[in-house]
Amino acid sequence: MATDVVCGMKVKENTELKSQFQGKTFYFCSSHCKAEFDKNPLKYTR
Amino acid sequence: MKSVIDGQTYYFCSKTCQQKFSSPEKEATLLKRRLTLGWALAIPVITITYLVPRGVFLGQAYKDVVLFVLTLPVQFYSGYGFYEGAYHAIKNRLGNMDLLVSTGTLTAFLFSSYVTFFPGRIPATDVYFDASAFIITLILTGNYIENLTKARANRAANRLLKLIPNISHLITEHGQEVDTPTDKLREGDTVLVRPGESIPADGVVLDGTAEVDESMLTGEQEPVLKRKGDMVTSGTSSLNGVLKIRVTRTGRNTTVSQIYELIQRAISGRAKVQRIADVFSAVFVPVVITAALASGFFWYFYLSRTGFAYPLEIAVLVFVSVIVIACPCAIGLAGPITLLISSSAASENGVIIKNPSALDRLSKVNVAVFDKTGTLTESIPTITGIFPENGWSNEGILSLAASVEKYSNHPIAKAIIQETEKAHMPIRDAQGVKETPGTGISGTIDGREVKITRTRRVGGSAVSVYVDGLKIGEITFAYTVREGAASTIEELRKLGIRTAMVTGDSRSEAERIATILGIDDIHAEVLPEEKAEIIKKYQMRGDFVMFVGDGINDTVALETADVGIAMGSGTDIARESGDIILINNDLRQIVLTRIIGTKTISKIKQNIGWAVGYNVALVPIAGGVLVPFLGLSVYTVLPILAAFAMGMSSSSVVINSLTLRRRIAKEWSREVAHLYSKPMYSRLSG
Repeated sequence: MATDVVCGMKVKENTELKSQFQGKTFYFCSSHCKAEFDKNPLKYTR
Repeated sequence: MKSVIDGQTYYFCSKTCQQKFSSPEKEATLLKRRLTLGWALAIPVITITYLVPRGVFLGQAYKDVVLFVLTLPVQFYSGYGFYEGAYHAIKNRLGNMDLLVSTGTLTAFLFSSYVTFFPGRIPATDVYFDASAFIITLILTGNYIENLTKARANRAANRLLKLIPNISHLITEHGQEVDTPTDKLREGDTVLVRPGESIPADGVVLDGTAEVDESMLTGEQEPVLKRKGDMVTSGTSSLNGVLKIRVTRTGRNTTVSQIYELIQRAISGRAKVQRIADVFSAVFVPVVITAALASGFFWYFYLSRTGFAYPLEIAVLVFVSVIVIACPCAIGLAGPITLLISSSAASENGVIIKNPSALDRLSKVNVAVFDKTGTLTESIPTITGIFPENGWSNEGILSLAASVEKYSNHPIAKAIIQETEKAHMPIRDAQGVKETPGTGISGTIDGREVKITRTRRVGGSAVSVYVDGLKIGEITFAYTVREGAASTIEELRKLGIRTAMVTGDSRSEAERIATILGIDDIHAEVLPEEKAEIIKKYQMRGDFVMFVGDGINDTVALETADVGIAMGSGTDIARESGDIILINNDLRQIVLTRIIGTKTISKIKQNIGWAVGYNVALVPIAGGVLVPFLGLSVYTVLPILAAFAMGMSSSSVVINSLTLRRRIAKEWSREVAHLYSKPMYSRLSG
């Protein structure tokens, strides 16, 4: 179980909604959260 | 799991969470029913267990069966919610409080049932139906108190909804006034609001003048004058004067409803600091179950070795006590209840928190980037001078200019129109109006061509007015610095926050303002698309950046920053970008926002620490640390005491959160002394 870094919800790793940043993969609960992350990944990874 | 409500999609972690969100009233009624039944049966159960001798039931066996029957509904009707939650936990491989409560109460119940129906198979002194009934009832009571306090903590949100009147005075196409239920209003309708009445929907004033009390929305005590063309918000009230209003937003779309929903949603917002709580809960539950089993086994073997007659009974009671006392219900509550109270207190001051998860970042902010025009300066310039040519008057020029500019959205146009209305001059209609961005606007009035050219100058702008090619005069403008800008910058510096300004204006112009306000970094001649890059550069250095700008025009910058603060453009909260919206357009409230951020996060940490400490400290007691002092008989009451302690833990977290309001108020009143004592309106040109 991964955690969506944008909203904090638990997400299964088999989801299609994911992004790469600095060599790590991040999973999202919704396309909205993924879009938010992609706008500025740095904001959510520090 | 997802729901689509009013076009918005929401995602949930479980069916229970989903239900809690979509129909809280149904949840509340169900809880009340379960709770009432719980108490109605638990009291007889405990009375019979301790106070009614078995002779009344013709023997222990029958007494036990009666207890079984009385406890059954509590166990399976009142307790049903816990089993549902436990099922979700197991299904998703998570640990949660429902799993612990279910395990605890079912163990006590099943042990007692077995002893009742298969007497003699296990040596036992008594049955513990009272324990299982009370565990369920007391924890449900804790939940109920939690709900009651949440409702009271929600007072800002509730007050907002109560402000909207049930009946509106609708004006039909034929000009007749018809009293209509407010929820039947539609966009485009015309309504009348009389003195003393509340405005039923968001709208634009068509006619009339009145002073409107907006304090319930913005916290601002001074009434605001509303005239033709001004926007009004639902829930505010007209103090004097009649207003005829065209409805622009109704029902769920009104500002009041949107704020209400944001406050409600604060409960499900997640501040990063809550991750600790989540991780703890996830790890804690399996640890507790292990500890409970370990304690149970320990006592079983220890007591068997010492020849005690009822080792299994004690082992079961130990197991149940540890499981129940370690229930992490308060931990899960710590974050949400604090966020709710924080959101509620903030909105009472016109600070609308759209995104609670930004609060952690807010408490870490060390750089504040301000957009210049419209944020540090007023969005509409002030007229600094009118220079008519011979034969023309100031008012004459204004009137002509306004008649053309009324077709434009340019800030200069708005300034001219405002001034013309103030001078009570007529604004006529123009034909063939054409606006050229960057140059000016022209149109025909009474057959004459009126042209207005706009030029930027040092310190502001100027327009030249021509009639049929002949220049008739000039008007100069200046963008004045917003009230409170200087004191805000200074207070931010005192808080250790570096300030920066970003603007498309020339370097000399930007430097002038920056020097006046005391801003550290200047980024001038910046293209709109470059604003976000500047923010990212700070972030890559490790800075946490707050960006303050316009909610409609600075979307990208607001979303790039760690915390985006929007100065309220048109009070259309849903469409404005930004983590936080300042409805009052008062820069000084940025300091308040920062205080809310730091105090809220520290309160959440406090709550989590308390909840965790509470649990951890009580586990040894449940495990048997008191036995050497009070004897094994302590276990007859320990399960029930454990349940009571758990009910109290949630309540204590809630009560502790309520003090957040006071802490914010205290800190803010200290700042207010610095922020609002400086000489008022700064006539410094911008």
